[in-house]
Amino acid sequence: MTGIDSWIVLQVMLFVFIFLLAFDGAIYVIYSLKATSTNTQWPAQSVKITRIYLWALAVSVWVAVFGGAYIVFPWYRAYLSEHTYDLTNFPLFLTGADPKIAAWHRLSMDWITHVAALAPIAATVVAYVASYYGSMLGRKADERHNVMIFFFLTFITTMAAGLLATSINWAAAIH
Amino acid sequence: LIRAKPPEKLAMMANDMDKPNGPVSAALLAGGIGSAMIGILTLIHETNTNANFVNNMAGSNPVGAPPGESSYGSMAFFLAWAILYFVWKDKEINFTRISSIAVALLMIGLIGTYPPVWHLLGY
Repeated sequence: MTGIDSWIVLQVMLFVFIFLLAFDGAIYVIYSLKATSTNTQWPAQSVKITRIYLWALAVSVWVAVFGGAYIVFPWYRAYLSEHTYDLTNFPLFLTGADPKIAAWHRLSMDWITHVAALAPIAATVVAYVASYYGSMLGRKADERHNVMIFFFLTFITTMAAGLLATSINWAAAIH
Repeated sequence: LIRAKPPEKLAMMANDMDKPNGPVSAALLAGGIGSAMIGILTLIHETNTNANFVNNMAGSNPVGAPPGESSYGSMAFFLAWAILYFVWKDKEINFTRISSIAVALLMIGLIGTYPPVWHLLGY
């Protein structure tokens, strides 16, 4: 396995972690902080775990986005030299060569490479807000609600773009 | 079964509740500014073939524009956060208004990074 292969595996693992586990988990933990008449305080241990969880999510998204941008993306966009006939190492041209999926591929990859950059910002904002208020975030309904709208809009869009890109690339591999 | 909380813990809880929302407003608005910056840079680059400055931000070929847009958007986020934090750290801000502005800025980011919009604007 080459260096780029290893990084792509890590990238896929981060994608799965972030979008299938951590994103849903973050929504759940923030909403479960909601104060009720019987529960107005969160135990200190839970607050600590939530903080660690949200900061781990934020760091993972930064690594995934900038690793993707500076390591995977140059490999993906590698230019063809004049007499290249084997497109194996030129994913952009390899998938672009199939007319059935070329347009979808272009749309999905253009979308995910740009919109993904918004996700680490949203994750950092949520982690910071949870850290700042700690156990009292449940009583700060306005702050909690509005920050979650920001987080949800960003992540749902990024997830849609990511899933589209992944499914197009799988389709390309099957073809 | 009901155990009284130690006074220092009660004081900490009271402090948490009393915390001004300025730093949180700063983070959220900065998030909106960073997102809008990414959307605007993407839109400028994708709809204007002469906008090489975004390509040049990336620093190397064949990386192209996206890493440059991400880097500058992230820098805008952290810079805006630092400035707004400094200005608002002890203040109570109208959070509903700030979050509306932040979501509007986020929408600029989301629209600017959506490829069909580039095509509509002449890409």
